[in-house]
Amino acid sequence: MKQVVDSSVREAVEQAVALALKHGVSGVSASFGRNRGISVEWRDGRLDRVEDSTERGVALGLYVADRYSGHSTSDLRPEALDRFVADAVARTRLLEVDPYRQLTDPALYQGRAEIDLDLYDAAFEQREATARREEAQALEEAVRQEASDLDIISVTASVGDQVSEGMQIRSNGFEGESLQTGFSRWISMTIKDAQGRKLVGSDGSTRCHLSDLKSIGAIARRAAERARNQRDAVHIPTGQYRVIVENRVMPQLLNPLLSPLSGSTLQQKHSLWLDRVGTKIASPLLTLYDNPHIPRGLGASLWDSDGIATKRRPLIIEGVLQTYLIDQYYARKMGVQPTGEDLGDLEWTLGEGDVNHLAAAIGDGLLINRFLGGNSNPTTGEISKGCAGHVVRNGRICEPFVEANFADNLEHLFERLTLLGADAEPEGTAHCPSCVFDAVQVSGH
Amino acid sequence: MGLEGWQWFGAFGVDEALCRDALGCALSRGADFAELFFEHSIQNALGLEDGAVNRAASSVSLGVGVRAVFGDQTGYAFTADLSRDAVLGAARSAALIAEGSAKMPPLAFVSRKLQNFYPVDRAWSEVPVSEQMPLLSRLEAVAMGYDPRIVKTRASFSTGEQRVMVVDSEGHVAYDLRPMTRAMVGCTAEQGGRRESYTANIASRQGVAFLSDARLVGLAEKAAKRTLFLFDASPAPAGVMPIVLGAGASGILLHEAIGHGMEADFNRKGVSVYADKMDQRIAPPGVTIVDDGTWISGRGSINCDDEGVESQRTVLVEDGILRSYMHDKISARHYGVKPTGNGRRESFRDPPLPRMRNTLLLNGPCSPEDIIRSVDKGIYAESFLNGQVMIGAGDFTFYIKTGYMIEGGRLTRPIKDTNIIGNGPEVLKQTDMVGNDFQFDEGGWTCGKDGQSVPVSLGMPTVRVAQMTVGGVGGAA
Repeated sequence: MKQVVDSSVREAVEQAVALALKHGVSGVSASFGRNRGISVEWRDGRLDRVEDSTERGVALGLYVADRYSGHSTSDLRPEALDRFVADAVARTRLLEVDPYRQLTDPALYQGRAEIDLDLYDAAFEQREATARREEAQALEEAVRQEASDLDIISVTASVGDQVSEGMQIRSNGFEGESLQTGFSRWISMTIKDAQGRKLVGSDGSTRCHLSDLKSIGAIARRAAERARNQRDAVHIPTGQYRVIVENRVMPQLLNPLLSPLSGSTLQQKHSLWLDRVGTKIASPLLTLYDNPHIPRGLGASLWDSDGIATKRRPLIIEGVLQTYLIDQYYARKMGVQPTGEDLGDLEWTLGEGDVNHLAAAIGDGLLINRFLGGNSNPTTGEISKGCAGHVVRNGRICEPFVEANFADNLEHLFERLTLLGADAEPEGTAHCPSCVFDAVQVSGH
Repeated sequence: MGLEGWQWFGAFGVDEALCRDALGCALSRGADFAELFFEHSIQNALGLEDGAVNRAASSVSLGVGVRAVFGDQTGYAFTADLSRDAVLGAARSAALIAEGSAKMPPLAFVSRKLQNFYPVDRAWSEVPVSEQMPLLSRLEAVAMGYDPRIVKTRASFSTGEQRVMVVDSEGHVAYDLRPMTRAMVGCTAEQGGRRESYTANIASRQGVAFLSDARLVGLAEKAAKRTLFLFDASPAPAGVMPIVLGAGASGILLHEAIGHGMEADFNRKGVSVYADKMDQRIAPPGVTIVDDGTWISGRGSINCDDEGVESQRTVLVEDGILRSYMHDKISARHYGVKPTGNGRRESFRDPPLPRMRNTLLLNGPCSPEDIIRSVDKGIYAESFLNGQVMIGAGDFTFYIKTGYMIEGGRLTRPIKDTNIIGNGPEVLKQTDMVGNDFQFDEGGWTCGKDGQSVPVSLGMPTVRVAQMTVGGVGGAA
């Protein structure tokens, strides 16, 4: 396994730092990254699209006499880069003073965990040129087999791999290298039901290692099942329901809950969680840890975007908020210690079973497995989203419903979290289980 | 600097011979068509927070995307390295989509003559930062001075210049220089221990002239006024009811309910709800919808699309009848029609797709007052945050940030933070009153599709939809 990035990456970053210092900055954070990606899309029995990408770029954070600005460019021609940095420094000098803009305290760089996060898979370089095409074709064939009872209009399968390598240097002592691969498989099928509605069933998987991807068969089964289960949907009456939110779509409720914890929303006073650390913001069932050190995790990193060494930390324990997510700039502004703005992979205290178990537990209600659009108010917590899923009756998941709306207030909603499943979603970084909320307002027809 | 003054090939560090060779590589395995999309974009931003203009950002994006088209199959490769080896390498990768005999690249290139739909008197590159900073201070002063309950104001503006050069295997070269100016003000207010916040923004393909003092004052006052409005507002009641969409920003309804479903790629694949509806009635008489890339300085306007096809005003729905989809070159060939100039992409990193530009519903006969008066109990939607659509089923949503209840034909209680859901074809059928007060919206709308974001705009007069589902709280309406 490769341990470090190519020496040319280090040279590119060191050149960027030298250029910034030449133009008179007092401090600089410079990073260079490059990315190679290959993807294949297979649609309705033949190759539809092949993409091959080669990307590179430099990003700079410039500190000039208590002033700061951030810049990025993919134009690395020497004269252009020199002119770009000179202009950027000149612009920075004209800004108003911001005494809180300083490079991260070097003490916070210390204590970096010595863990192999195992984010690079040599399979990227070892794959045969035809492998992605064959895999995409196999995905389509598998889903057509799984969905042979359905009226299929179109199937698109995609397979993509990429490798990214980069390095960051901060002029007060930080160095960090990263080398990471990513592999993905995705399938989307459109079918027609008896009412003539065109319904989409999809599923996919994205991982750092090829061997960790969900199997072709499992993806195909899930996509076909999702399309099949939407057929002949009904409208539901407006009312208050016990609602199961499926693990896969739970991040659409969790993200609005967590985003007002950021330093910028708190310092700018538009967070509903102002002055709430140490207080109850959710049901005692909600215990959540941020763990950026899970090997092969899509959220894994040994340092955050300020260069601060990361560690596993509690976010919410038994419903009580443990920490804000404050970067080093807003920490200075607020006169507190930085807690780090970035989240890695999340760990939940799980409950029992999957959506079928939860359906049996609630008896009657709704299972929401799709959200559509909507938004939330980070200052007051109001949230309203389109939704679809299934009616739950007598403990069983029954007919699908569509064209409904879910509305609540985030704080009160998570107080009414009454059950969790054990089915933590392996994809992504939030790893939510399916969750049950009581007395949710859902409007229908 | 205008189109004529910019040395396009030289600025990208390439020449016609390299382009010819790259197209030759892209055609080397029998592709029907190939193109090179060169892009050089510069974006600058300035920000104000806590009373000081103390943040700036810039980005430069340079690269080329090479596309080879074989039937309706696409080979695409891009590189940020414009050296000869890198460009030819990308072209060879794109060529792999095809299987056949090599075709010859053109011997010479002819420039497309294009109209300029975004004249700029003074570009931002000619304006020193010291002259830009007071614009932000002005925004803050107006917002903070609006009411003592406003406790925080954030303001920013960003300016951009995207230069594109599209060179294709049919021997055409098209150049476009696309300006963009966008300004934002966010306010937080406190009242009786409660807090509310609201962010307003405007955008246009203009230069310095766009941020006139009147426009800055209007933007800051709108942000402050709507922040305070939220103290008196509450989410709408839940249930099915008539919706009156205010003129201008309600065009998000068009974008989500109708626009995406009329992008031709979804239709040629048969997955759009409008796939088999050409020349059929899909809306009541009086409903005419256009996608207009030629609106002067519109955020979604383009002189040519990202395939080099000249922009146009495309009539999608004429008096209720579906007349055209929005096409790129691939879909146009599939349907045997001319491309409509809708082939757009976020950057050189992306292949073009049929995308909206400025999507507009034209005026009807009704006065906005009559439309509101016609509703006994319903919702008046004033400002919006976002929307989304499921292309196949046609179900779509949009999120109302501010609005009013309509009771007894009058605007009454303020409402906020309410999502609305509907089905595109059903909503079109139920669009039963169209106003005569068309407004083009100056909001900074950005449309996402297939992982790509492009600037768009929208506009419409006041409209009544007979019934939609309101995602409010409380009992049924």
